[in-house]
Amino acid sequence: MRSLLERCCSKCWHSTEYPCRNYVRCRLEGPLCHDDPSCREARRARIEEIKYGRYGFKIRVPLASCSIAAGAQEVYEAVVKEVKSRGIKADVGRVGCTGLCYLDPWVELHRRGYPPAIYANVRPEDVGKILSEYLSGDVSSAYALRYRTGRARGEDKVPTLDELDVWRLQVRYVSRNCGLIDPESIEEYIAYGGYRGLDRALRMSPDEVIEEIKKSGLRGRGGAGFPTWLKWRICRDQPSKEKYVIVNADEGDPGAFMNRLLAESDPHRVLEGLIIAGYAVGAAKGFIFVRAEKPLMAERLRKAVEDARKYGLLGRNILGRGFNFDVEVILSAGAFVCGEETALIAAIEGRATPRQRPPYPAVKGLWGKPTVINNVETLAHVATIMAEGWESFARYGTEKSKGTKMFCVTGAVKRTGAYEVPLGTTLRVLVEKIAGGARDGRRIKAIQIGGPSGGCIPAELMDTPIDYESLQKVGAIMGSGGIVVIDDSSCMVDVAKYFTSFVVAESCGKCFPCRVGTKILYDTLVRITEGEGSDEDLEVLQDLSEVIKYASLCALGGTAPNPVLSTLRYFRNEYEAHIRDKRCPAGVCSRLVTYYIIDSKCVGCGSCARSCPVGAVSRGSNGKYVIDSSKCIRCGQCFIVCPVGAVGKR
Amino acid sequence: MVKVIVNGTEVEVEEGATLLRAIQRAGYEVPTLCLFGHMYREASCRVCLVELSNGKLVPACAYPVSEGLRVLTDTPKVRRVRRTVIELILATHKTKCWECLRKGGHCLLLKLASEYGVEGIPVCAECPLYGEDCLVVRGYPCLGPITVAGCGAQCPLSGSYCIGCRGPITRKDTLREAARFYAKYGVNIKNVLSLATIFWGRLSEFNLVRSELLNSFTNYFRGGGP
Amino acid sequence: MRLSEVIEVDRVFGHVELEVVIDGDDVLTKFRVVHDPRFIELAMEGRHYLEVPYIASRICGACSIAHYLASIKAIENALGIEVSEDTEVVRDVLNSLQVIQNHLIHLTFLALPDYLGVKDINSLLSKSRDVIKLVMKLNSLILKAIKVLGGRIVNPNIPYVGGFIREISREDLNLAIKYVNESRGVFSEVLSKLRLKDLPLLKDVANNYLVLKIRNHYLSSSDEVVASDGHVFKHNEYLNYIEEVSSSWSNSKVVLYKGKPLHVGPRARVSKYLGIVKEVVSELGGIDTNNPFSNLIAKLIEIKYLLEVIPNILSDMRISKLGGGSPHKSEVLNGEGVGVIEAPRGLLIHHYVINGGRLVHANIITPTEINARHIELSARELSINLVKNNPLNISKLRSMLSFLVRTYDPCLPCAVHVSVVNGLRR
Repeated sequence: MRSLLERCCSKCWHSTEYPCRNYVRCRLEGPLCHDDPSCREARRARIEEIKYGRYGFKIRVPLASCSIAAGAQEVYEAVVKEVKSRGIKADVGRVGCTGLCYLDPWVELHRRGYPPAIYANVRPEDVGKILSEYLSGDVSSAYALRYRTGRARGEDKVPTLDELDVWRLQVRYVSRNCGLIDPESIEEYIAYGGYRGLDRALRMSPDEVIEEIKKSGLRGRGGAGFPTWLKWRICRDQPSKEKYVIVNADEGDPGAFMNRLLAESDPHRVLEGLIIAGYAVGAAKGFIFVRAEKPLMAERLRKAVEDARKYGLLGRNILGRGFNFDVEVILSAGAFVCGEETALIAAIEGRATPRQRPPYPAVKGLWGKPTVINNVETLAHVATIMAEGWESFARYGTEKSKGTKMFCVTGAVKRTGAYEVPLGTTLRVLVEKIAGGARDGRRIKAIQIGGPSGGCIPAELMDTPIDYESLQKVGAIMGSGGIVVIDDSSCMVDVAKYFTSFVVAESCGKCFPCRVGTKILYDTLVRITEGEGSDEDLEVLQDLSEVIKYASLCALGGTAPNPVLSTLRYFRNEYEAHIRDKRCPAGVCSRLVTYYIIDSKCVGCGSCARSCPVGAVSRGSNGKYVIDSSKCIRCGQCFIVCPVGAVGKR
Repeated sequence: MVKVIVNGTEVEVEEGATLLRAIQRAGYEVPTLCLFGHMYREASCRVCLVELSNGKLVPACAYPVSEGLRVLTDTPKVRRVRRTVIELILATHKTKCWECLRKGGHCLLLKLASEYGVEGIPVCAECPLYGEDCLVVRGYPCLGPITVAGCGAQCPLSGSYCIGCRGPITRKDTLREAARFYAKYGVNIKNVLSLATIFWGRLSEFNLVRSELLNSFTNYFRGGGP
Repeated sequence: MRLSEVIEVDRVFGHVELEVVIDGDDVLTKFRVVHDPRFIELAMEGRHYLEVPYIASRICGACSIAHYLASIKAIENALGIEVSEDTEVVRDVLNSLQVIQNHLIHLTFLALPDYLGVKDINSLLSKSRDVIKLVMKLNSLILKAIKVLGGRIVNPNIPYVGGFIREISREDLNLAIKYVNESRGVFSEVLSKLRLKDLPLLKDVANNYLVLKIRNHYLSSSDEVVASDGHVFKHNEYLNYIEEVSSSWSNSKVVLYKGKPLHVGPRARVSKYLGIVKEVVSELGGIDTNNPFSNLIAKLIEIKYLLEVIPNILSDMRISKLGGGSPHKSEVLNGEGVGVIEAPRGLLIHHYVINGGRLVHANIITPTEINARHIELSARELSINLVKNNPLNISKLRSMLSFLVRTYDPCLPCAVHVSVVNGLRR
């Protein structure tokens, strides 16, 4: 059998023209339409082939945007070349990203009977050595093993994934396939249990589907945390015959990539969720709205849509249930505001500016029709919940915030990546245990959560559980799940300035508070970081931020002042140092930093004086050098060129 | 018909009506700037924000009524937010009141700004002298374009030029445009500045005002922009 | 008997103290203006001449018109700018209106309590509420007339160097006439409700005065000054006759005419032009111009007379419009000139030196300055009278002396316009 999805023999007759109800189950458990042990055997063999390769040796190389950026394409080609040239009997497959991005590029080698070994930070020139080692049964230079078999050498010295905090503390509910399957193969998805959710959903009534989602307690993972079932219910109850469902794959938060990871590693899961949503709501058309800046994501989603259509999982009479649904992938025009649902709808209609709500999109959305917009991760959860039952989801999480969520942890931590944890996990566990805590021996100062719309939480509050209510209490929002860890080498005023500059650039310009107000906030922050702030500026920042929050038209403006408000609340001392002492405690704001030469360390080489563009460094009588602060323009060149680190900053 | 409670008063409006209609029917007023009949109802200016019982601020011109909706139109929060919004509007408004068709008492922005104590609109907005009657056009060093409005433009109204007793406008782009206006009609900026020192000479902002006016004035003749 | 009293006189414009030292038969009085110096003349120096009147009018809010017009006249005199007769007439009418309004307010709120023998304004209000209400109505009518001709009720802006900055039309004049006619009726009502009591008796021991020589009607301005001894001199020769002397105990200068103290004001004007106003004088029961206290009666006379005569002056004018047009551009930029006018309180002199279009020197002599020495003399005379025959009643002394100072209606902010800089100028 060439593919799991095709007919096993002439008696099996599912096609897009004649869809069969049991098509999905038939792939794995089948054949169901006829009884034939050889067909069953062929299916089983094919599934084995998919999981272990034709020869029982499968090499997986992740090729998602992040891995490719780290050089995985070259590694992949090196592996293919090596396998070919040495005549190794192995299948080289491309997979998505597990989320352990600090390991990129990595390679997983799995030979039947031997433990699947993950090799981290692989360079193309290492490939040969790794292959030889593994083939000889030695796994001692692997980073981790998925499980032990007892047959390889060095097994006991290498930890299994479950023994590593970074894996053990995760609950890989929606991200289970990431890093395991070929994202461009619908066959692999089904082989690993995909589209079971759709199958089950189509056997229920739409109301029952909504009920299932309600019982699970799933809340929108895009940031607002609105109960998904309720949004679907409202839309379903609208009298219009024409309805739409849209996947918001815009993911504009800088530094957030959970959606991209999911869509590039397991696009069919997202698509499945979309189809289920369409069924529950009564829509016949769905859209996937992807940023043009994430081309691989768009491509993989497109391919998923094409494949699904090819095999009758999209289009007319899906799985013989009389349900017609088709999907179109739309590329967005690269504006952060498109992540806001009314702006997204407006973008599809032609111009991306937000609209006043109410009426909400579920009542009146795209082209005036009831529209449901869900986040990528939300729909991935929908597919999984429908496949496994609501209890599988609801057992995780807290009373009000059920289930798991993916978070991208970036910044000043040892292990950056995307991790899925149950809601209610504390920030401390996520940042210190899973992500490894601060790096370079520094101290964590603050945690930025929720992207530019979120806020900064000081390190003292790291024991806050991550759920919608607890975060709101401390003045932050969960947002889409991007977490940036800030250590003491960053200046909080600078951080606020950066995020405010982002919002200023991305403001659509429709309403005054956001368009003009954020610019004023930005200008004030710039002045403060350049040493020209005054005490009134703090009042202006606080007051104006509050007004922008209340008065803005959409959530972009409504959450834009959060960085300023949260840093003012928790890090006021840094602002005051900038204003009153004209000093940047973290040594970041270039105009406020003073450079000086540490006498005891200076060896008198004069590199600093030679590199100084304004001649502010001169030789003292004792042979050591000294910086004239009044001439210094704070370019930092002396700091960079000093061979012994004798230039200090304060 | 839907019942809405505005500032404690019950009114009934048609279904699908906006909150603004209900407020007006109850006899209260909410200012609007961007609402333009059926042509523009996008709630962009945020001036008409009113407070609901849960503390949320919504634009009256676009919010649909629902049964039993309670709204307050004049709370401290509403006033505070509206005042800041007016300041923000003014911050980007191109103030060239001397050429504006709304001068002489027809400028809604000026009325709103005066009501909420926001200053920055020049006397020209209140002065009905336009075109040939304008004292600057006639060659006088009238300080109207660079003086803060609020007196009702009583000096120009009585026929004499404004001598700036209410204080200078400090917004740079307004000053630059005003300098071009003076230059265009042959009023020497030095006379303007000399007159200005009577009331503004000791103000800390005066140096800024003087340098902006001088620079733009000379730039006009060098063929440059403001 | 020794007595030393410092009387802080209230119900005057500004702060002033009258010090009385009685040592046996010797009485020494000092009119001490304690008001801070205001440096107005310095503020004017360096200014373009078109800006000077705006500063001048702000010397005093009560007689802003007088200072404004005097300033304009001084500039016109310095630069040789001539104005039409009609312009002069309207200016004089405007000045007269302020004279009326000023007198009215002073009489009612500052001097009347003394006159009626009540302690203060509150008692006045309770005693004569209806009179006060009429006075306020009268006041607002006069202010309306001032606004028509001057542009604003305080700090006028329509009169301008060379004429008027805005056209004054026939309609404007008619409107002013209407207000004045109405005022006349109200004033008659006021008079009818007032019972004029007798004034305290005092003899003016130095009855020298200066008034402006009138051209045609009462308070019409000219460029000549007439003295009580009959001497007439042109305004720009004033320095030959008047000298300003510093006073060591007062922030105001002291003025002497030919070395002697003198007075200016309504009493001086009525004394000089008794013939013109004689009908009104007899209607009001006569006046003893030798009694300093009769300044008050002189004010009443002026009010009544002017209210009658202004409408006639304005209706006699044969113009359709005055003024308007483009800014005045003078070719002459250097000169020295003097402007004189009869302010409500008396003769006012502005003396400017203009160089290159800018004021380089200014000297202002205000009526209160001129009266300063005279007040001291009258106060001395009054004290002697009070002490001589009767057992000394300190509170009566104080109240009588205060009353005396009030009748002169001193305006202290005007009196201290001068500057004190390192003793070089005073």
